[in-house]
Amino acid sequence: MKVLVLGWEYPPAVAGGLGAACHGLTTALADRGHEVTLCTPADGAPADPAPYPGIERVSLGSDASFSPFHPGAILDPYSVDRVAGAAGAPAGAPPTGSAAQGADPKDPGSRSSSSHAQSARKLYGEDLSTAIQRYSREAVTRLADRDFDVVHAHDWMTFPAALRLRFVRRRPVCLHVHSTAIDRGGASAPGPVGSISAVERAGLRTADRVCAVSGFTRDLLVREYRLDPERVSVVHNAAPSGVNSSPARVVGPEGPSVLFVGRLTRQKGVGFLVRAAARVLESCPSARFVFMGEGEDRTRMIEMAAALGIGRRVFFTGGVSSELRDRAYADASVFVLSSVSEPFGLTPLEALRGGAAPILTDACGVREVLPSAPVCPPWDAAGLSAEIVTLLTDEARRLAVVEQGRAELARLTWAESARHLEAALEQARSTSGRRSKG
Amino acid sequence: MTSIVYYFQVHQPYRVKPFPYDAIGARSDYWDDWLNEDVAKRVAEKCYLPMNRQLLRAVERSDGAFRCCFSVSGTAIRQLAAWAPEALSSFRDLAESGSVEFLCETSRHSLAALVDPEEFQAQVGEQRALLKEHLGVEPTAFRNTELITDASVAQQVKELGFEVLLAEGADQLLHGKTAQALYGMAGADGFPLILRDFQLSDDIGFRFSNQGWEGYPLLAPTFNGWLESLPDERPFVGLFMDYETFGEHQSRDTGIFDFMDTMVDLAVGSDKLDFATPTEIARRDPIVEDLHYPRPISWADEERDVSAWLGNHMQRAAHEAIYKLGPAARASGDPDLLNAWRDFTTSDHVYYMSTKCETDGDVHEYFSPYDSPHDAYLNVMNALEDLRRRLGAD
Repeated sequence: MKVLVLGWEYPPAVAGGLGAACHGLTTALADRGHEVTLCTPADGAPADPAPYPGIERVSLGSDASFSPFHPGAILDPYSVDRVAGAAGAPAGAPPTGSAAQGADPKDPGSRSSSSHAQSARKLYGEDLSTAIQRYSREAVTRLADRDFDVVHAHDWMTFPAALRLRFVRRRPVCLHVHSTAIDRGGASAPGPVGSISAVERAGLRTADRVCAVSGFTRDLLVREYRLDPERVSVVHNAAPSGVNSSPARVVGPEGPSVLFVGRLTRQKGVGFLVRAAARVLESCPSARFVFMGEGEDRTRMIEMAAALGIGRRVFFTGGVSSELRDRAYADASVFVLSSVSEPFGLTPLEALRGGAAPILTDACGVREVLPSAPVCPPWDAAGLSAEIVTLLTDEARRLAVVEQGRAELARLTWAESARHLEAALEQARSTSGRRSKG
Repeated sequence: MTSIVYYFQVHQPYRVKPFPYDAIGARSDYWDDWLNEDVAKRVAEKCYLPMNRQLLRAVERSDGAFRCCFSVSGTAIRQLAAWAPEALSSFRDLAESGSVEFLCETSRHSLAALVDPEEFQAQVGEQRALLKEHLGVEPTAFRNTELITDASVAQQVKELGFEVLLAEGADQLLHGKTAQALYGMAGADGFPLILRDFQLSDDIGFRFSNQGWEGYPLLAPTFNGWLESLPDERPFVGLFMDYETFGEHQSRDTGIFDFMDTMVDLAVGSDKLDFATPTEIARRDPIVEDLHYPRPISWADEERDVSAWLGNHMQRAAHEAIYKLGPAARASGDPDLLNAWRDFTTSDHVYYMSTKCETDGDVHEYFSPYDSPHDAYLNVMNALEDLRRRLGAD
């Protein structure tokens, strides 16, 4: 199949985010022998530290593409990064064109976190709607005469471009949902969540096929956007790269640590975990609760912990480096994903790698791939605290949760995800043009 | 004749270094020495040295008729000894003049009197030793941190052998009675209290350079006129303020130095005014009546209570976390750990965590080295966790 992939963030600029999933799925599709062209906003691709065999890169919206000196824009070496060649090509081979500037191609780790933050700001900052318009316009002008069988588009920013191509080229479109405006607004946000929600709804109802990152998200799409469940395929994310190296830890004299990693927002259910912490500390007074991340609820959460009288045992680290985060995973006995609405949730997989036992809410997608992990409903502080206490006091049980989780983790590969994606793309092609809206 | 009782508070805390979560267990240098040295040197240069010189000249010029008192916190004494020894010796010169009394307080400018009598006693002992060593004085009068006072504080001070306690002349305490008389503390055998006249004190300490104030610009003849017009039966008026008022809170170009110089000369030449120190007042004047303290009263913020330090949950959590380590610190047998813990008892650390807004919030923000009260809280809690582990405490 010739697959035209519309992505927004590549290479991954935000850890655990859309870029990581897009990278994993796209490379795995290429590995399965498909011809893949990956289009991303020019701003989002400051460099491609690991060019991948079989993937052609197109940057949309770069100023160079409008230059009169490069009339054949699609062949413009400054905006198209064709990585031809054998799989044996050295990963560090300098890619052609501007995409390589600003980074040491041999050492992707050399990119400073501030440059990540900058590109993340560009991608998701105040210029977003302008960037989306430019991206959509150029997708049509520059890609319409290309040869492709199906369009695979990641999240709402790329949906307008995908639908225009569908209209212009009469090619089937598969839209992939990694998160929705409804998740981000919190489950109880009243009414439709603004214009993003409208973009999602319209796009998903028009698409030939929809992929959801989890059954949780598929159900949400069916419930909130009235999609026909038969049209929605579930394609789970795989585990983040890395190896299961950390041994299950031994608790030191500083007491066991319970870790949260994520934005301190209502969507992530932080307040519910803080309340659970107060209950846990009644029976496990030496436990520590560590909250890694920033967010609009930060000051409220700090004050809540102090008010509950557990200020001494609750730590707010703010945003941290990936190295410190990995250390915290390795240091943690228990990891809690307390989200109120989480389409997937990559952090429990990272936590398992580090040796922490995850506890999940039943409002997250990742529980579908970690069926052995303890689960409680969101907002149930009593239930969550009971689960935490069990794992902190029953070491055998905790180790069993880690071991089972790691076994489940090992089965999660991008190759497996790509197999499901491939089926979805085939279904998009076979239903194309034969389906009425709805 | 009304005696002017000047009391100047000198204090510098040991400010805590940025102490992020990953520093816990990894390093134990809690104090921002670079910042502390910088502030100590700057304040010595702008305030302590020039004002001490000016006051010493006033004592000499008046043949000892100008009198005043100081309290210099132990943390300030130690910082001056380390980074501005010439400022410390200028305080010693004042002490040796015979006209300047030095009060005792807690060595760490702490809230120990409220929650930890054993620690309070220990810190008073430390402060006595510091005053003896660096200034050559043996104090007889006492002021508790930020004038925080109630019957229990007065009782502890009395038992430690002091003669008089300085306190705030708050409305909620006096209910319309004058602050310009010697009171006794009900519930502490009428222990003598010298109260601050907050109106006249704040005219100098807070309002002097405020151009929106109706009294601006305040000139010495005007101010002394107010003092001279006090009723004859008023034995004294307590003018208590931060010493950093002179040259630091109010910069030199506001005219604060000249104001004080002229004010002192006019008062020395007045037949209605003179100067006295707290111990002199306590030995001279009779107690007019006992006062009942409904709760601890301080000189801070509009509330004049302890809410500047213990007003929100973060402050109370940090305060509890600090004093919870006291027994382990004292039992540790490690002088460095005990010293580090004691420097965390300095009240400024919780003051920086105040979330009060408007006027008082501005004052809090003026003094704070942090971006926000929440940052102050997290930083201190991280450092305390490190100290807790080193102490092996619960």
